[in-house]
Amino acid sequence: MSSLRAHDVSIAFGGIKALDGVGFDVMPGEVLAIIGPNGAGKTTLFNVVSGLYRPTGGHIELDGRGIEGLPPHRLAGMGLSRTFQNLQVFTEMTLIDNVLVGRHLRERHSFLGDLFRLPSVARENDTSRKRAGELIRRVGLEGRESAIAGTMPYGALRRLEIARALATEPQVLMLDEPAAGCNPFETRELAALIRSIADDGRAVVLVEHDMRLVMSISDRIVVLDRGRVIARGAPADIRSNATVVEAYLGRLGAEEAARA
Amino acid sequence: MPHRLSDRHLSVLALAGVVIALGWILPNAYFLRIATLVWIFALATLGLTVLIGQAGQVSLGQAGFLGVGAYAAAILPTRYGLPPLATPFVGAFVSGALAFLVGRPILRLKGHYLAIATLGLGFLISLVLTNEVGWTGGPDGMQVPRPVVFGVSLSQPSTWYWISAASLLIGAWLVLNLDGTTTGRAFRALRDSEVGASVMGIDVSRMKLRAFVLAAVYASVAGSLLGLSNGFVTPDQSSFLQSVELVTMSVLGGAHSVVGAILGSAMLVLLPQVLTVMQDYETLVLGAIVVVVMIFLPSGLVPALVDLTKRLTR
Ligand SMILES: Nc1ncnc2c1ncn2[C@@H]1O[C@H](COP(=O)(O)OP(=O)(O)OP(=O)(O)O)[C@@H](O)[C@H]1O
Ligand SMILES: [Mg+2]
Repeated sequence: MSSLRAHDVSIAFGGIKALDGVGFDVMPGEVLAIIGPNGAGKTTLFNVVSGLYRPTGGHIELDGRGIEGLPPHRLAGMGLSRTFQNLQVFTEMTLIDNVLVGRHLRERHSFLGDLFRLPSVARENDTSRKRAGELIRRVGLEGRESAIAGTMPYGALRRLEIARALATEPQVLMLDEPAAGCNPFETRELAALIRSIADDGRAVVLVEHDMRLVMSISDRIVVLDRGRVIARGAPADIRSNATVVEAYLGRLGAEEAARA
Repeated sequence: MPHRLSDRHLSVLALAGVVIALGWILPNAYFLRIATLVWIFALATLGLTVLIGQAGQVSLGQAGFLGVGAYAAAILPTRYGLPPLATPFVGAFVSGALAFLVGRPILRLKGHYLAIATLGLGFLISLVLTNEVGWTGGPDGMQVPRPVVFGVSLSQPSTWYWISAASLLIGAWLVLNLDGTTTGRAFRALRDSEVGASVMGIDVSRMKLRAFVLAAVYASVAGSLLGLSNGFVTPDQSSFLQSVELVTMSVLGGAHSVVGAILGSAMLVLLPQVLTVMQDYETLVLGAIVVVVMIFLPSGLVPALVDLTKRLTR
């Protein structure tokens, strides 16, 4: 059974079709990459699936339940989380607090209970802090727990968003350009991290321009161009697919892909 | 974290120390009255510390809830025979319910639009209080019956000093409690990024509504205390100017900070008293002071002082 399935999804902005009948599915334990040139509609697809935009057509299922039109916080409760290409970090909070926010739905709490600071608050905090600390270590940010997020470099914040998303304990994790702004060393570590997340039994949807990263960790690839799927298949197939090479990679990209 | 716990409790204890010391030191009824006003406005401002400082939502209609609380203290005992000391609670319930009903639609708005909508709400409440003469006594306001406890009428300035100080301490304790809880983090998260917060599973509109209701309840209790301690209420307490003053108190002291709320209120209550010697220029000078503080210390007085001490002790 597939974790996340999108079928024939369309959305238009002022007459321009940003997505036109796009479909994909991803299983637990799998990394599905969605690639395509700038403006292809990758982020828009993420926004539709994660409930920020309502599709004008199509069907999206999470574990067999239709989810189109549900707000993001409901989807989070159903096991879907994501990161953002244009970071949505809580900039005035510490790194550990950013990750703790991801534990929102995992913490038993009530407004009045928090206001009167019932003993349960401290208990929940202890559990959450332990979990959040583990996640911070897992993405390689240990030692910076109490740094204010807004003062950290770009690459660190991308990893912080991954830790924060993992804190929600998602079944499906969607990553929008996690390697942007990372140096080659960081990118290699990121590849291992993403692969290990999938190996934990989560479904990972990865949008990324770094072809070396995509080719090395993806099980399958979907190629978008101008809102349409122009190819899909295993990394080896995509690398040698003439349409993709022409429409997306171009000459320079083709060389890069060949080296990867 | 035991370290964090003691931080919270230390703040409340320090505040209690200041309040008790002032209660002893202040020489006469006039000073006690002024200090009472500071505590009462600080209580109203603390609601804004949560709404503006933590949750990042603006309200320019907060005096509307102050008015509801004040008139609850006036109307409920005279017309319905309620004991005066019960009125802050009933008023808080009414204000909270009103905030809940009105907050749902208007909290969808952002930034300037939310500011205008809350301004409109405050204006409407003020209009009702001014024009429903049969109920509220109209523009002249109305008397507030004094509570009688064990045959003693509570009208001494010192009595109201201690009642308002205790209310402020409880209010501050609750706001400080929120820091480092699921709710407190959710408030700050939605201030920094609503989209980020919602993807983390936070029901953004519900959280905003909670902050809005809390702020309304704080303003309302402050309004009731104002009415009870003054012995009368007027529609001025619900005016737009009063709303602006509350926001100024919050932002001047430092919108995130509990101490800032108290300091901001103290400045806006005390400065006009000091500046009366300037007569016609009073408002002008007060305005200038506020503008200068905001230009040079945009995050407010208390955060600036904290920064300074950090730099000096390093
Ligand atoms: N909210 C919006 N309003 C109007 N147009 C939009 C909106 N969001 C996306 N678009 C348009 O949809 C198209 C797809 O954009 P999208 O951001 O999804 O591309 P992308 O594949 O993520 O590109 P990149 O690789 O540069 O991130 C673009 O033409 C963009 O201008
Ligand atoms: Mg994009």
